[in-house]
Amino acid sequence: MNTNKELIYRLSKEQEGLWFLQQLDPTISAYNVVFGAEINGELNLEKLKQTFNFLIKRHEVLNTKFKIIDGVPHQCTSTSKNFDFDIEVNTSLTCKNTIKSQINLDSKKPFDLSKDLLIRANIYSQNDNEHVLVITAHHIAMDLWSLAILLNELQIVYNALSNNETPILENTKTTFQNHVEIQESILNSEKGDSLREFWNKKLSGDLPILDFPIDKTRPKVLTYNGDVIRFTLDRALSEKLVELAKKEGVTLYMLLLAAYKVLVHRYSNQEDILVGAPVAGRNQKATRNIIGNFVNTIVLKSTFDASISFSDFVKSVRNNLIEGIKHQEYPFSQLVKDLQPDRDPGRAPLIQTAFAWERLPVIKNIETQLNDGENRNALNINPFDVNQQEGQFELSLEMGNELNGELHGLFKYNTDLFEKETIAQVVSHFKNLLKAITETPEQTIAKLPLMSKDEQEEILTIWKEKPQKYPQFNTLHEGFEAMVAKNPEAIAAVLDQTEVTYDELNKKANALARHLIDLGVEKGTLVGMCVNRTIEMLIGIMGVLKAGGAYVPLDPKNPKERLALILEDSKVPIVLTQGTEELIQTEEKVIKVDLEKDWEIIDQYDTYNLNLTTGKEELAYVIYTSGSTGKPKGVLNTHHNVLRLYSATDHWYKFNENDVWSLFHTYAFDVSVWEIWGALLHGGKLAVVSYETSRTPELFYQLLVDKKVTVLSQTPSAFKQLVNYETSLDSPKALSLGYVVFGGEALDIPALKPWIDRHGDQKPQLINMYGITETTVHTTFRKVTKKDLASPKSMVGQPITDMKIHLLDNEGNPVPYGVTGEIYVGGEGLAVKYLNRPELTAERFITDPFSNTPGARLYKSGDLAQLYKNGDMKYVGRADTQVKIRGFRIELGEIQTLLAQHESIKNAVVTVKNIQNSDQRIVAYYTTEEGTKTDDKTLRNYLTNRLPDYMVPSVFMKMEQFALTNNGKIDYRKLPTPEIKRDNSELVPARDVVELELQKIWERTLSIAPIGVTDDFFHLGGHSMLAVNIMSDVKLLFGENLPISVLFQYPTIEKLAEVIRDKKEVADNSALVQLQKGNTDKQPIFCMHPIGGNVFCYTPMVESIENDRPVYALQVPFLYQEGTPHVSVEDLATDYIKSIKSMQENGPYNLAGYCFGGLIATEAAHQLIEAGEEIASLTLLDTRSPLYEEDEEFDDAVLLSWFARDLALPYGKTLTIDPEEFRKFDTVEEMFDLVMERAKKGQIMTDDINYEQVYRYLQVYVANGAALALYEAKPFPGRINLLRATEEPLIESIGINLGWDRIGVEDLRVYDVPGDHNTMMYQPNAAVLAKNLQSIVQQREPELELT
Amino acid sequence: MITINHTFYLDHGLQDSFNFINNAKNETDWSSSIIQVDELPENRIKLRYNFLGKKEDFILQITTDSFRTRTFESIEGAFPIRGSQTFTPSEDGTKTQVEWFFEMNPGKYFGIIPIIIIKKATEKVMKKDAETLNKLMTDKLVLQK
Repeated sequence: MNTNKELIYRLSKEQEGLWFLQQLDPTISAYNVVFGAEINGELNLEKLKQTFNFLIKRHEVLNTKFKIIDGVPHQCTSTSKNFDFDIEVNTSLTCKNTIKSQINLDSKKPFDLSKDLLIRANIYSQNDNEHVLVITAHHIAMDLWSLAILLNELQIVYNALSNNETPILENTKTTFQNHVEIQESILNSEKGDSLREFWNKKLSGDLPILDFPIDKTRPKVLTYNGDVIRFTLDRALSEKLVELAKKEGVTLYMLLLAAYKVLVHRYSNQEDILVGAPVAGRNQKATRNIIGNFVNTIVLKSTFDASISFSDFVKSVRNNLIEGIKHQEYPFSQLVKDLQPDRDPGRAPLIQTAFAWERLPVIKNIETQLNDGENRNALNINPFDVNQQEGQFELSLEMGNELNGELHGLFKYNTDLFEKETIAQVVSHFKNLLKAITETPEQTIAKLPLMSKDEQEEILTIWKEKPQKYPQFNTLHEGFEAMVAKNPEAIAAVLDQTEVTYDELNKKANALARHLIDLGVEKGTLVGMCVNRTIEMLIGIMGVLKAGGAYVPLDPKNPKERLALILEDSKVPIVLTQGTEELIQTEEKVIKVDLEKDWEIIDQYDTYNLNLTTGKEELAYVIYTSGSTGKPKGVLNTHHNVLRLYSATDHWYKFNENDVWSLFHTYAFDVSVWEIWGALLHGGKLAVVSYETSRTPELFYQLLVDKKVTVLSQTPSAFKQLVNYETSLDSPKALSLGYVVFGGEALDIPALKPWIDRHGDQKPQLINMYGITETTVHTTFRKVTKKDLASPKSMVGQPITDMKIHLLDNEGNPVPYGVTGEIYVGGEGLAVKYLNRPELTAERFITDPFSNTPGARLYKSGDLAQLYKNGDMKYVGRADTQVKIRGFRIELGEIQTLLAQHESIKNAVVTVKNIQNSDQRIVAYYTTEEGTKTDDKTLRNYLTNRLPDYMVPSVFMKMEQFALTNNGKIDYRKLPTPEIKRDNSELVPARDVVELELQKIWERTLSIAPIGVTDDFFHLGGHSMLAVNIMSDVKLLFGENLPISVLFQYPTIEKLAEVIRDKKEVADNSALVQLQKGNTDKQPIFCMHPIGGNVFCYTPMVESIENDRPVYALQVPFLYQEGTPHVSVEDLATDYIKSIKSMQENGPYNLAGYCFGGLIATEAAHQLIEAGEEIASLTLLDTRSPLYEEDEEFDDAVLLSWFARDLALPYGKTLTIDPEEFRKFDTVEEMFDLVMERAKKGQIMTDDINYEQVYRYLQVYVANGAALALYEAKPFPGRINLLRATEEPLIESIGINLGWDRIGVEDLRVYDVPGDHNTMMYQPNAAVLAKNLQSIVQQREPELELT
Repeated sequence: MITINHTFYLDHGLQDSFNFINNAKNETDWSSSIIQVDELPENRIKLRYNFLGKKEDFILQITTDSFRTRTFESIEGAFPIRGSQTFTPSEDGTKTQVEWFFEMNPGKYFGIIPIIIIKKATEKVMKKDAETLNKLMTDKLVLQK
């Protein structure tokens, strides 16, 4: 008799978590518990099946299904007495390796918790006497303890059944259901409250997220693919560990857990570490012989102090663990709910690493049994290693197993994050660490070695390449003079149309040098230079060097106050100027030489070479960089520093006299040194880029073309502007680039894709060079190739051959491969020192502890990097408060100090935050003095007058007070995410096409949407580089250059639009409006305007169209221009085809149109077909056929009411004016005034819009109305896709095909879209519309049914 | 005042061309803005126009100089209109040049619709009608022959 009974009860908290994970991804197998055993001898399969049947009946939890009842998961346990368990038998595999592979596949098959048995068994038989049994169960019903019970009972039952006896097992005294109920009652009791309180207190504050260095790009969503590496600690080490544990008064578990924590700390550099530790959860004696998932995970937090010894640390771990175990009954899943940690779908919540100690008493018994040589069981089994439950954590360590006095362990890791060789290294370092711990447990944690001496030596000497050339000259000008002698008439530099030959430049520099010597310049004299980017700047630099001096850049673009600080620090006796005297506020004794006004004097001097005696260590320049104390600091570099930069890289670049270098950067930024001397030391040409051109990508791109530049140096930010500009062109212009050299900031390699797609990676070659002013422009070299695009890592390659780099930890020891360390740079490029900063020099320029060369130094860069085994390096970021924003090194402290000096500021913090789109911005937080008033604008102006624009914070945030750490310091982690503030609480939408276009540019550039037309650019986080982007797009769209300063003067869309309108800068061909840029490899969609003539109505729809699809719209140019609009659909179509062809020369074309626009699209299709072109798609958005005629006659009142209605529609607004309201007026002018008044009130028009403008709207509206009235239907020889608004009441009167079935369309397809004629264009309907249009364009049927 | 001159060619002889245009019954076929024609005594016709959303009746006085000129002038209607078609045969006699003159003074009849739009729309209509006329004549005359 089948007595089938079902128990239904809730899930335990642990089960709930597992059930949820399985629902989230039903394919995961990370929670399959797997056991393998070799069976030697005869196997009675039938008896084995009966054994499983017996055990499943005994442990009902294995025969449980999970169902949702009343929205809550429940487990339904069957107590069926007749049950037929099946074992899958595989006899086709003959070797153990193939068996292992098959086991791996079989055991990773997921369980369907709603219908599968929670245990399955596979037998792999090589022959009659050699079998492998694999048992796979879901963790929701089975933990490791349960597995031990199962194996134990399996043998007992099998033995009994084989002997035809009744199995005798210890009675079970409880059920899993009891456990669920007890757990529930504990949680609802005072004890539960106390447990909750303990864990919530223990884990209060910010919870660290593991930052263990990974090899691969982290998947956006958590994955569970894993693998394991097993290892053994030799007997000697194992014994020492046991002894040490005894000595320290801790268990072996505690000791190894502490060691694991140290390992994770050293790899991640994190001060706080959370490690999960599974606990058996079988405190109740009765639970110890039943199967079920009782295991819980407790979270162990450790805070590291670099000075603590391991001996002390392990004791704190002991206390921590004991406390945790005492409170182990609080479920992990409940803890996650309580703490609500920040969720990242790519990471497990709360803990990402675990340490499992699996020396459970019951396991030991089983092991003994399994390894008992005297095994007299019928089932003669031995353990067979199979992998299980990998990938649950990013990395976890399981230990506890001991065989023959040797400790065994296994590292499980997620294979989507780590390479196997990295984990092998981790294993090796863990062993080294354990050995060191046993030898010197009193050593501080930071000093315990991870690497062996050999490995350390390998890392210290990984780069072995030596320079193939050395400098031939002592000074830069000698190198230049050699080029003059070689080819005096060659062009040395060009600015716009002005050129200077080598000979001319040399002679002028010689004359200037002699003048400077007369004025007192001698070797080592610092000479200030406050000149513009001109040829004179080059003469100045060369003259200073030839006179023996070193130049100190004083960029006139910098605020006066900053220039004053540099002058004060450098104490230059002479300053070269160029009409910039008023910027130089110095003591009277400082001599000023104006390179233009004083040239008559300079011209009196001889022009032949000076030939002064030189030495290679002579100073060349002092460049100032941001300093943390609020004052910039000067770096002293020598001629040799620069000269060797080219000789040491010559075998890579082979620069020569045919090269044209762009001088893109200010001479106050050291990349200019590379640019200037790259040209002049090789006989090449230097194309000087004016400030304006450097800030206008279009002009700069043209300069590259015109001047045939071959070597381009760029910060990644600047290059991004250039790529954006070029991508906007149909095809690139003829560039001559041989190299694009990146430097100055981290390179986002995937962002180079558009460039590499167009130009490949060979010509030009793309080179990433990490560098710092203190090590002379560039320090490393790495080619960037197409292969690199897949990875977001900023790889900087290897050091230049005469430089060296060590990545060191805080103790000054090398870090292992993959571990983050600080970059220390040594070699020929190291600057002399900081000017007037002996303490800082001593702190940053240290003696090289790894070199045998006397006097060898290392520069402590403050930059962090990771070293890879192939010698490549990944730039990670900064270790201190210095940051690099858009290529500029910025000491945040400098900004902070200045801000704090403002009279209204009580306290200020300046930091860098990622705002939208991962764009780094400087953010200033401040509190104000009581009784004072200030605002963001005041503070911005205050800093703008004192700092270069790249140092002015993008966002200012006023705080009531700052959150403090326990040490009383400002808690940076609690600074709020920058708030994008609007001046107005109400979002004012765009009201004409100029505003709409600007709004789109702003939203795209600032990555913020929506933006209102009265929002302030700077309050939205805008900064100078983004301003460049905006003005570049404005130029593209409206056709005129506006200086960036305009944006500072007119920082809202509304005001900027006024400027554009006033200047009448709307491009002549403005019929074409780019709604979405997309990629050039996709055919664009061209959308025709509806009757109002503008194209606002498409905006919501375009938001939902795939990003890479270009979308253009055709609008009536006469909306914003003088002229008479067309009054026929044919003429409109003819004109628009011209515009379309300017974007897409040949078909097939995708045409679409809403309402009246559908007629224009149809007519355009007719004309294109007649011209022999192909139409890819023609889509009408609720367009009535021309057969449909409006019966209603209209007068001015009706016409104006229609006009008012249609005027408002594109903005998603309603403007209803009853014709009777108009009829109250005597004149049309009065009626028109009413439209204006209502439109302004409804924010459909700006206040400044004039009558003429609106009248022009009306003209366009009427003209289109006339065109509509005049257009006649004609048969269409192709397919028309009609997207019909289902809720449009007019369908009933004009027919479901809107009249198109009556004009002879060859292939008419009609699809329904939600909404009425108007609402179909707005969200959420617009998204459906977009989806359908997209499907049509992609040449597949829309997902809606064909009607 | 709106004055429009449009010259076009018909691929037909003078006689056929003149007769076809002068036949008021053909008006609704080739003139897109005329939706109804009633012939009245004394060489008058009543036309119902549908133009720029307005429907209006006009009574025109027709005067003809056979095979040379046909003139029309409103004697009733919302506003004054007048015009003419002057016919000139080609040298070989196979084609006919038509000089179409049209003038109207709609005043405020079209209300806020700008005069420039009205003029442009009228020009467009006349140009289109001329093309329709030629095509229509070809079709009808071929059928007749």
